[in-house]
Amino acid sequence: MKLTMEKLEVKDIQFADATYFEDGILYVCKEELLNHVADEPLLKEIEFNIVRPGDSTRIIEILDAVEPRCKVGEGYDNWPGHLSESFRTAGQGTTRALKGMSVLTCNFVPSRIMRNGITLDMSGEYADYSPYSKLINLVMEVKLTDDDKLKAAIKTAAEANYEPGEEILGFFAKTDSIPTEERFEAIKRIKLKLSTYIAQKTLDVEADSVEVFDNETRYPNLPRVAYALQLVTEQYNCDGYSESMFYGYPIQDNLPWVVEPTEVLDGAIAQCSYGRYMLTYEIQNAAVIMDLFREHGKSFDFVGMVLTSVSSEAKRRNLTSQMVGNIMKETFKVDGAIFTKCMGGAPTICMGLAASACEDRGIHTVEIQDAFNPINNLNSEMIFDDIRVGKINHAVSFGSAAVGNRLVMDKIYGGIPESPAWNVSNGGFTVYNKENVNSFESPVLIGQVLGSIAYLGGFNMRAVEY
Amino acid sequence: METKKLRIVCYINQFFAQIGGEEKADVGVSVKKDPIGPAILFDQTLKDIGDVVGTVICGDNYFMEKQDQAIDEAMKIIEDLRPDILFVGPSFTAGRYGMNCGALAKAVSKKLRIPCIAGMNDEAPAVPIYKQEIYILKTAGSARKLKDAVEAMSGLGRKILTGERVGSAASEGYFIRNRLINELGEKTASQRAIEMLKKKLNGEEWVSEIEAPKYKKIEPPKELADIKNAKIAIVSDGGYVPTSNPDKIKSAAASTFGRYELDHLVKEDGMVIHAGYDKVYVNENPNRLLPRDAMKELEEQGKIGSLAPYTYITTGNVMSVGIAEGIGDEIVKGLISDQIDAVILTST
Repeated sequence: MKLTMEKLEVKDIQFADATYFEDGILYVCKEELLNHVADEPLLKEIEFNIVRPGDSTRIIEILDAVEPRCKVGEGYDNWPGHLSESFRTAGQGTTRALKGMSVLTCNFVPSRIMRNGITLDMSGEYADYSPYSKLINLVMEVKLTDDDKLKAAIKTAAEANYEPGEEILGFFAKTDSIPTEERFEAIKRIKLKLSTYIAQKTLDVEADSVEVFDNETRYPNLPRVAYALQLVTEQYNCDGYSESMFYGYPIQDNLPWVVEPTEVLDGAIAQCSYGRYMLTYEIQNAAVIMDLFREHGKSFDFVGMVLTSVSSEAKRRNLTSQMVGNIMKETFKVDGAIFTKCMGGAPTICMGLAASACEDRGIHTVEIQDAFNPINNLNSEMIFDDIRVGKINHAVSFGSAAVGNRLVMDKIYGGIPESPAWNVSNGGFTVYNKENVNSFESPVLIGQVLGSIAYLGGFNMRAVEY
Repeated sequence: METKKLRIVCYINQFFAQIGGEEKADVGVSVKKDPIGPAILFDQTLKDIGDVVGTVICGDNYFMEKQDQAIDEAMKIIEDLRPDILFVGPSFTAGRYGMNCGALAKAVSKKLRIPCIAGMNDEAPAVPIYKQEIYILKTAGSARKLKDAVEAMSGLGRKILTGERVGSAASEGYFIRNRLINELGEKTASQRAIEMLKKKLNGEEWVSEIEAPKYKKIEPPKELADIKNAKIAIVSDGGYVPTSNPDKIKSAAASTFGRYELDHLVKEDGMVIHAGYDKVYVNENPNRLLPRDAMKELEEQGKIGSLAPYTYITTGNVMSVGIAEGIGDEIVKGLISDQIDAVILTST
């Protein structure tokens, strides 16, 4: 399949009376954006802010980052299946991408569920550990109709000086709030509609450059290579909700399936809830996919890819890994394969076994994985021991970010004042107070820094033994 | 203005102090106010910033056989010398000398809170025992490379004393201390993965960024002879604890465990703190994690002897193997003293 990506470099973003692009600057009209999603029944309001690299600003409670993109010309849908019921699948034609920026979605989600407290510092040492501190970001604090009820519940909990546990869960259970699935779906629609709208408003300006992702030609003299992208695990589901990540379908129970690499780059997949350490932006810019396209015809013949879901039990895990092996061997007939995973231990095992299945079939494999525990060495952190599989380590995911203390910032965006954030050290919550900008006491785990644990391989970080 | 000179103390054995060989291994603890043996090299290498103010000497057998006493005696001497840093050895592959160096360095580091640096070869038995407590520089196998070893140890010592940032184990040449730190580099993980794959496909030598672990082989215990009379306990790493979390067990990277009354935990007061799975279903019905209901039935039907009235709980999320083994040992002690015959161990 062939996808033409036209790129427009955004040098700055400014608010204005209309949304348009001129001389490298994206002008955004808040009213226009709000009107564009006025039909969302759960939406109460959106607070927009612009943050730039070097700002003394911290954004908290980030759910996702999206690169504004839109299809160019007729015949294709934006975010097919996510925003439309009838559509053509993604990955072909021409897509415009606004580079140098992202749209950050922030919202507090009450925790009957897991909370991640993802943050982004635009300056200071912690900024180095996030790819998003180098972008200009349009921050959208999405407020839903039940946010005030939740705010009241949190305030009560905070005043009660609660201990982690049943009390805080009890407050939220009694609150008459929107079901988790509806919240997440609403926020997903809003972020996808608005980011698309912004991109569409630039179409009258010519793109700065074009990159073509095309693996239609075969190169019989080059080694054949494919990619296995492990997309989701049900471990971190919120309230049992299985996200509609793939063209609007939930896929956590899927067995391995084949998709075109350009589909993944072009909107087949969108994160629905909190980014689960694999943001929509990262999927749109999936590093292994883009790098393999760039090697196509030079070092490799990039023949295709599969998507997998993580299995929590042995039978399905066994079937999944063998299916990946069979697809790689019999359908793709590859010489080599690259694997990535999502967060967690079961994902490591599933990915490892799939890679092993390929090695059993004579295919060379390399996997990108993380270590977990910072008080350990890399060998002991390996819970999967096939030495045939090459391993790249990209993070110690429960390690800390940087070494110093967090800076005191002038501004904090995102989240509701007094929203709880997950406190790793006791399994409960720290109440974050927007007025007291550095009352966020949890140790800054690398997982709390936006985009740092880049499972799709796009960040230049690794765990080093000390 | 004169900068204060740092005070360096060295510890060596009877051989390096040129007192004698094996036949002098029972000499006791002594000190010379001047640099002796390898301490001379430490003194020379660090002359610009410090002086060796004392060389502490002890026979390898004396220290080994009377360790507590030897450490006490040496500690008194060292404390009086008011050192800013202690160098022990280098002891290369030596067994006793290395163990003694490690034990002394660990004790001094804890009590005086000063950097303590050793030099050993990876064959030294003391390395796995002490590498996390003190810095152990990797050395060659023999004292023929004494100068190199002293230089390496001094170099690291200099960095620590002057407040320079100590780099990774690979860059500084010390044995890994089991700390993993995230660092930024030149290439993305994807680029490195593709490079590694190219090497593999070309049949070139390639090195994995993570090597394979060496797992211990665990022998499964023998089958329960008499299950009808067996006393069985439920143990879990699923992190289900009383809502007050009295033992403050962490939801990830835990290193502690608790023992709780099973009935009260499952029926009255409990919650999931484990952060690696969706808590909803176990919070709804804790029997899904701690199968008290099923076990009680079996007890009533006489299919098992009895169900223990308590359970041991920890959080297995991101737990290192070493810590898990330690917790397992502790739990087993308790189970054995209660004459538990078997355990249902649940996880998520």
